[in-house]
Amino acid sequence: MKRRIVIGGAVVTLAVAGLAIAWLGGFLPSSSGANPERHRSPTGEVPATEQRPGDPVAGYHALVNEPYVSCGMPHEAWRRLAPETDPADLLPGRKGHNAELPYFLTAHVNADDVEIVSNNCLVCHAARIGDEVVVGLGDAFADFTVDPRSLVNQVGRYVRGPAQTAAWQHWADRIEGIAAYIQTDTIGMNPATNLSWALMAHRDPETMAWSDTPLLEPPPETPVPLRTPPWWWMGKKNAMFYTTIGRGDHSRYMLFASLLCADTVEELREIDAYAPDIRAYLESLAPPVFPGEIDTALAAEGRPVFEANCASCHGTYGEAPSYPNRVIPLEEIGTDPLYAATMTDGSLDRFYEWVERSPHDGTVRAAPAKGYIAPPLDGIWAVAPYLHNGSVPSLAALLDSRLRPRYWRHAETREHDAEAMGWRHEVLEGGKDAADDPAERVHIYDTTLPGYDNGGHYFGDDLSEEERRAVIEYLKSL
Amino acid sequence: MMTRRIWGVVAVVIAIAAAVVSYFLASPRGSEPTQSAPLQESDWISAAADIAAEEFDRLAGPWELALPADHGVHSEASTELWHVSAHLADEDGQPVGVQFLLFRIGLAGPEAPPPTSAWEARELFRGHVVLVEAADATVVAQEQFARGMVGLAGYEANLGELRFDNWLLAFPARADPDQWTLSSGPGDNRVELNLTPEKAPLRLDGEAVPFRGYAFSRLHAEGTVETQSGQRSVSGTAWFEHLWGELPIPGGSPVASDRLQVQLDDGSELSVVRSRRLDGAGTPTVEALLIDTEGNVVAFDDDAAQLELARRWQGAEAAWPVHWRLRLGDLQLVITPVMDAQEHAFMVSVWSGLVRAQGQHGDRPVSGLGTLQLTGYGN
Repeated sequence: MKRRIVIGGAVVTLAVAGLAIAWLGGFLPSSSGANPERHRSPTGEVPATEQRPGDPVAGYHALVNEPYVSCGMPHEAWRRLAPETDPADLLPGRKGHNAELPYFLTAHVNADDVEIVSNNCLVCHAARIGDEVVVGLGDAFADFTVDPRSLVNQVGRYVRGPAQTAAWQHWADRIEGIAAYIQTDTIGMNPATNLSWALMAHRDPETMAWSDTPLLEPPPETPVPLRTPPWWWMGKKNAMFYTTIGRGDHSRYMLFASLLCADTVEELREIDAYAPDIRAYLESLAPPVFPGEIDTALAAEGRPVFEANCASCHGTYGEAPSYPNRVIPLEEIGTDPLYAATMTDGSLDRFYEWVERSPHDGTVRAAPAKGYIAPPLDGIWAVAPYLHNGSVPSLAALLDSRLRPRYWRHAETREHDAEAMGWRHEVLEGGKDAADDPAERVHIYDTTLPGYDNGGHYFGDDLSEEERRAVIEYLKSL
Repeated sequence: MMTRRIWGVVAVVIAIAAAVVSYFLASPRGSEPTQSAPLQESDWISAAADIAAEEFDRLAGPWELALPADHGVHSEASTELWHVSAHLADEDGQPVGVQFLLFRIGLAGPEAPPPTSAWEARELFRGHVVLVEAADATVVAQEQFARGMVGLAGYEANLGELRFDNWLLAFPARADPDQWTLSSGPGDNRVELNLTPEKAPLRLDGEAVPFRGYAFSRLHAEGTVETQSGQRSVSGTAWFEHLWGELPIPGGSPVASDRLQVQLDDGSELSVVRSRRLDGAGTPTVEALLIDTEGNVVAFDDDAAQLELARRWQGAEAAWPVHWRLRLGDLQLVITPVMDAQEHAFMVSVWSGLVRAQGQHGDRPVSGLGTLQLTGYGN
């Protein structure tokens, strides 16, 4: 247990650098003009956009080896603070020092001959289930609750010599610029969207030059609580992110992962050369197969119930699958409105305009809808906790709202319960206010807090107990 | 609670990691903010440690604290330190502070062949002792260097004695494991203290940092201080820390840290580390922990810990922030030096002195004494 937490700490240390990678919730331009409606999309069906072709094999290689997050901590300092790498955290196909690093870190040598270790996309977009790293699974335990500046200073104590110091300063300056905007209240919540706004506030959109002083009004300091969705849904979705803000060329959206460190348009262009390959790899990802037994007869009973009650939003599976790509309006889905509301109330439009002015030149557009996309359900057994804010710990509770706990936390053991389709958790008597210890508070999922509400998506309540059991069995097979 | 305990331990590690920095030397840098990288002026200690580091591996594998054996030298570690800070009162109730630090640098790794001569240096030691007496506002300090040699500097396992010339920290296990003695300078002055642990040791987990160790945050301390003006009895509490591994020696590192240790009269102790970038950029960070009367540790991060540098004192080397205001949850303290002039021209200049703590813990008034160490401000 201790080891896991320590590893978690290291993840955090590094995570900050890689956060940018997570889905940069939104940018991108359209034609300019005063009408803010150009930064909005209607709810309902999301139209498809042609994507640049890429090579998924080359994409995996780039994903786990290329320095698309080019600033970080000197390897010499990092190795002193990092725990020993758990062999289960190693991934195949990595070259050089990367072969010895845990999956969420990438090493490269900078122009001053200093080896740098930085987070890669997998810091948020991969997670262990048991001893297996599942690439593409959002990490339900990623810890962004601590001030990353503490970690910057801890690393700094082991930095030696002018070249290492310069590399560390570059990273430390960037972290200083974003630290105030990426601290979440709860372990498992991901601040990547707010991170992207903070980075945009510090960069000239045309030259990518960094300014220590914000050039735009920064975003609110507290990130809206969000759960990282799995990558293997990307192949079906016509737009990226819960509000479908990411429209246009998905691989260009992914480039914003590099905003933390890329200080020139040229550096972004170099990354853009292999970004379509990475996108192709993400879209080629298959969900992990349910590890337990499936009662096929019960699942067969569940299928027609699913298709009658769920498929109109979530699609159909098996032979001839379909996926409707539908954004459900807030008032219809009823899940926590904070995220979709703040994305569409005009308070973030300056960042959507930043995207318009960026060198992507109209290939991407930041246009959220006031609702949430009904996601594909491939591999749904693995992606707990559920809803965009991760407020519901198991699929059984998602389909029966009476079972949704008001206050809960993950169990210490981090054990995935495939049968319940969720991580083992404890239901608590009280929320964050009831905990004295700040270290305990960050573990508590308190659905009474803004952004954390666990209501909405009540469709399962209308099913009978038998129907729910059958649907759950069927969902295991997706 | 499990989580609380683990995070406590982690936090202790973190705090002490920083503490090491502040005990020793932070890089010899000016306090003026600059836009460029700090100069990398190395000192001989860190130069020696760099050389030594080649021969040592990071400590690995499981480790359980085993006392009294772990009081001794860990020759598999490249660097090691022992530190006592005592917060005492004389017969008139006037504050007396004692600091004792011994730092060891291994010059030959565990794989090195046996020495061919008793004169072959395998270890270097640096130590200092500081004695502060508020009654007559005196501060005396001494810094020493030596190489490791039987009877001169090192740990004698059969006696349980850590010796550095005529300074001695003894853990006489066979007699009474809970009765330690510190016998030390500075100079012709003598500090003789009996130290008795009052709380169990806090074990420092070495997984997130490349070193290990433990801390006794409260020992009962009783003994005598002898100076030119005579001998007097002193009593109070002390704090002991012992760490080994790859300790952060900040000669040339771009971060410096300040360390505050306070022992409060309600039976709790407080450790605060404030770290900052020497180039003047960035926001200083604070890591703090509170150890309650039962030895439970609660960590406070930047959000929960507020620290204000209330006043600087201009010494010969720098303007030192000697007066702090601190809020940790429901604990509020004002930290003031028993006297301003506690600057030391050690190999690297430091302000390391005895401070008073006064404030409120919830509804209750609390007070105590502490040791504040400031580095990286001088030239």
